[in-house]
Amino acid sequence: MSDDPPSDDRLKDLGKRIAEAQGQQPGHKPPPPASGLGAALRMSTELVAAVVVGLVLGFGIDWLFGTRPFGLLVGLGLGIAAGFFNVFRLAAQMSKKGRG
Amino acid sequence: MAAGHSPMEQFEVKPVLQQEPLFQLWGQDIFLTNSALWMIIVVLAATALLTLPVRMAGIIPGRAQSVAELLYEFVAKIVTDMAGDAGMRYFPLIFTLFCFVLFSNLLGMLPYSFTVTSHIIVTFALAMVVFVFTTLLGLWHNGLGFFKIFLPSGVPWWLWWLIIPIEIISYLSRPISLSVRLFANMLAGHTMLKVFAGFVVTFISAGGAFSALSIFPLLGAVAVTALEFLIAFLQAYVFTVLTCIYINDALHAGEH
Repeated sequence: MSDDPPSDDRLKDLGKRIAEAQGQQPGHKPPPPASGLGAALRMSTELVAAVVVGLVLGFGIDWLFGTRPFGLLVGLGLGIAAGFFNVFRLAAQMSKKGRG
Repeated sequence: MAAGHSPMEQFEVKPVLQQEPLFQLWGQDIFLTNSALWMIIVVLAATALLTLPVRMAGIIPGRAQSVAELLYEFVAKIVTDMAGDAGMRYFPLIFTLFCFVLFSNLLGMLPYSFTVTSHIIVTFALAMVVFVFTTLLGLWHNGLGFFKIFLPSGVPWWLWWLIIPIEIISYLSRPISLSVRLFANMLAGHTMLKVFAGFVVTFISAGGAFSALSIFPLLGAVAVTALEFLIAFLQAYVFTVLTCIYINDALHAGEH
């Protein structure tokens, strides 16, 4: 095709204008921030879910290898730790989102 | 309670349209339950809203087309924000999940309808789809390097024995927290709505000065209804965001 400078300039200009228009588009608002209650619910489910998984795993190991009650105890401890990990990670993610 | 209606009655699964089983599968009677019926309605409604306007698409979109396009753009934005352009490949799955959850939640707000997402088995099945899919995707994408997801970078080797089981439990807890969150929100919200509405009836039937007090639970029920619409949308959004985060983790598991 012809590569005469004026049309090339206009093309670039069009690209810039499109980019500007896209930047101004009001449709791309950030989603509604989760309410305090929502955040609390999210965190508590994360915590409880990990504890439940730890308990079930520990209980399963006991049932398989006959190590009752140690599997359950270790599983519970690890589950609680994993729950705190989950909550900590979520909190870090939330506070990062809040700042940015 | 007043009329013998429990606030939990709305969650009862029972056969609809006909009381006889449709067919038998492995000796088990299969019924068309209200849950199954509303799942079918959800799928039909979502499909109708998203395909019909597009078929008649114009340059200047009508109302239905605007809604369909808005939904598409909303989810596409989430996917690219959370999982990058590589995540867009899995857009069909994410969008299907989003629409199913959103339409289930919203159609569940209709009086006399049934909220399929208020049952743990439904949300757990959805969460397991996400869990199995992201796990297979991670294995397929990273090979054995996927297992690095259980070992965050910067952990000294003498802590591995503790961190790895914790990370595995944390990973396995994902489908549970994902499903329980959606289920608990829908269950709690709908129960609360019924309880408030029940108070109105109780106060009115108590008669005298108590009848005047019934305005307060009525206002409460109105407020809870509005809140429920917000939650219906928010929970679909949260479900989608987490799916995208998990897909992103699966795609980049080897790069820790």
